[in-house]
Formats: sequence, C-alpha cells, structure tokens
Amino acid sequence: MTGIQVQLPPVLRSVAGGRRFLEADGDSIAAVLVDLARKHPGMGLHLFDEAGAIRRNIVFLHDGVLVRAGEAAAHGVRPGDSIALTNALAGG
Amino acid sequence: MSDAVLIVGTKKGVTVLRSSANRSSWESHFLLRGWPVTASTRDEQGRYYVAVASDNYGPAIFASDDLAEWKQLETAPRYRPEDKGNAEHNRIAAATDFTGRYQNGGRFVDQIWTLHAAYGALYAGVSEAGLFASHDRGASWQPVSGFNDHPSRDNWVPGFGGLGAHTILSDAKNTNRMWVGVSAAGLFRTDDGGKTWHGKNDGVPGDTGQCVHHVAHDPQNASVLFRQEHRGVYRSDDGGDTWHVIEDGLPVSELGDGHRCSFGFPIVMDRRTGSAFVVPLDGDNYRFPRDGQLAVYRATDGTRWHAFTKGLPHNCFSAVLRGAMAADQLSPGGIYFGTTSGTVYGSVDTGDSWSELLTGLPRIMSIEAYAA
Repeated sequence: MTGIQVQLPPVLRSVAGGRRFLEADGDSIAAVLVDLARKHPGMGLHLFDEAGAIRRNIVFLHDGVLVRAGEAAAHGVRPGDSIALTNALAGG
Repeated sequence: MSDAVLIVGTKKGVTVLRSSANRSSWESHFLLRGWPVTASTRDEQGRYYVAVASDNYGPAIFASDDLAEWKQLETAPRYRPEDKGNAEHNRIAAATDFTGRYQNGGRFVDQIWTLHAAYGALYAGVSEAGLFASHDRGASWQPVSGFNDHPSRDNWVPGFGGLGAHTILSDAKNTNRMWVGVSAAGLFRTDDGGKTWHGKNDGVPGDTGQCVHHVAHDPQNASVLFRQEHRGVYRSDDGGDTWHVIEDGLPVSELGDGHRCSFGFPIVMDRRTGSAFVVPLDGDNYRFPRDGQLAVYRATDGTRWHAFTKGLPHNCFSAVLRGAMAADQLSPGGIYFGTTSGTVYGSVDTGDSWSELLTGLPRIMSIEAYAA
C-alpha cells in the first residue's frame, strides 16, 4: 500500500539527508507525523514539543486546504495522498 | 604558527572559516542554510557540534567530524512534560508562538545557548534556563536535576532575551566543580559534581537576580574569573565566592535605571597571556559602541583596560552578542568577534590590531575558535 507523501520545507531537508519528501502512514495528519517521528527520530524533535503537541507554528497543506496544528488530529488522509508541511507566516 | 577554525553561528546558518597556516587569509563555507545557529563546541575527540534553534521547528544539535558533512543528532535536551515553566519567560517566548502553547504553563527548551565539552561529557545550557549533560556524544541527554530543580528557581527572573543558561565553565583540576551563568538569576557553582549549586554573586549588585552576561576564565587556573555583568565588569580570585569591580580604563555609561557602569555582553580570555577582552557598548539604552567607534578593550594584567581600535570601524552601530566572541588559544593569541550586522573581525596579535575577516553575514549569534 502506498503511504502518505510528506513534503518537507527546505530547512528540514537537512534533517532528512536532503530529501524533499518522506513517506509515512496514518489515517490523519497527526497520525502521519507520529509515524514520521517513529521512522525518523531526529525529525520528531521538530514536529513535536516536550508535551507531545505538534509544534504550533507548523501548518499543513492537503488538497488545497490549509490545516493548522490543532486541527491535524481530526483531519483525515488516505493512502497515496500528499501533504506539504510548512510554517505559519508572520511579518512582512 | 598553526591554523585556526572559526564556527560562526548566524540567524540563518553557520559559516565555517579556516585560516591559512599563519592566519593571514581565511576560507569560508556557509552551511545549514535556514537554521539559526546559537552555539557550538568541539569535544575532546575532535568532533564538532552546533546547536540550532528555529522559532518554528525548535532546537536540535548537528555534529560533524570534518566540518563539511553535518548530521543532526536524533535527540536533544528536552524538559519533562511535568516540569513547570516560568510564566514570564513563557510570555517572552510567546512572542513567536502564534497560538499560545506557552500559556499552558509547561517548561520548554526553546534555545540551546551554549555547548561545553568537559570531563568526558557534553553539557548544554538552555532556555528556559537549565543544564543538560550527555555522556554518549549527544546520543542521549539527561537533565542536571540539582541545577534544573534549584530551590531558588521560582525567584529566577528572565532577562531581556528570556531566562537562559548561557555560560558553562569547568575546572581542569577539579572535576566536581562547574559554573553556570543564567540571565537574570546570576552565576551558580557546584562543588559536588552537579548535585548542589550555590549562587556566587557576592559583590555584584542586583535586587531580584544578577544579570550576568558572560564569564571567562582559564580552566587550568579556574578560580580567577572575569565577569561581564549587565551592571559592570567584575573579577573574582576565589572561584566566584567574592567579586570586585574592574573598570579602570573602561568607558562608563548610564543605564536605564541611572546606574553608571561599563556595559557589554561577551568577555573572553587569552590563556597564554592571561589577558581578558570585552567590547563595551554605550549602555543598555543604545547597545552599540559609543559614537559608533567599535573598540575592543584588553586587560593584560587583569585589572586595567586599554582600548584597541586599529582596523575597527568608526561607524559601527550594531552590537556584539554574549556568545559572539572567542579566542583560539594559539600563540600569538587570536581573538575573534562578530556583530549583529553580520561582520566578523579578527586579531592575530592578541588584540593589538584587527581586520575584517568576513562581512555580509546574517546577524551573528555565536562564535567559537579552535586550533585546527
């Protein structure tokens, strides 16, 4: 079964050996991140804080929909989907 | 003559500078693009480490054996979920926290301020202020609970940049002794290998906590300490038990509260000569060199300061942060510092004269220097 393709922002590619995409499994964005952290522990530092919460400045793009960290557990994904991981923008 | 290596941490990556054999020319490589690089160190086996801290993706540590290939370690210092945070630090950190994570009262590592290799271990000083140790080259990190759970912790007050443990010093002749500086809770010392820690601030003014900016010493002569405080420059000859002001020759400025003293952030030592170096700024209101004249002050005898400006600009209106100055401990001594406007200056004659090594970098947050 095809997993979920997670597109990394450029800064996190240095944690993934330069790769733009990593693959993980799960039926929600949050579940995909948990699997991603399991497969790539160094990446997990950047996805979850000490309390186990998704870092709050991270946002996701899935099928043209912007999903905030707090919505990631409830936002479903299917095998073969792609999500883009990026950060919320601030400033000018 | 030996060549030197500089690791220059900036707001958007790290620059590694390597000198020619006589340190007359330098080659630079910009790496870890996009990561704010807040600290670095080299362990006793020669491996280099840099700490990064992203507002969005948190802190981590990269390691390299050749200064070219950097691999992120899989773990980093982290508090336990049950650790209670400092409300005022969380308020400061929340400036970049869009949805209020910090409002829940937890304690988080938002930045690694300093890395220090000693006693066969790696130590990390972090904000929210705390100390962590690794005995396996960064593969795992353990909190130094005697420090992190200090009885006075509830009274620690954040400085302007938050509540951070930014200075770690060790004693080459006494592995049970170590110092940690916290803004703005003061300098602490352990004499029992980290089990208990005691404030070492007698003689330094402060109502609610001393705002130590940086401390320097020679680990082989560890009891002589030089301290750049928010409120002046101090020296201790007894391991920090007592302090006295040493500002003879330094420019004195008026602080925001009216106190007059010499203000600045970094302080470093050249161990071969015993000289100390500071970069005074025109008080905490302006935080740039007086009248724009960038100057390094050196105390060769450890008490009287002399200004050195040869090769330094007279139109510099930027600062030098606490971690952005270092000595390579070669002979003659190489001293280096970087500005918040992204220029690296160096001296290879123990501070007598200076030259611009590199400019156009992002804000410089940290510099360490080594014999290659």
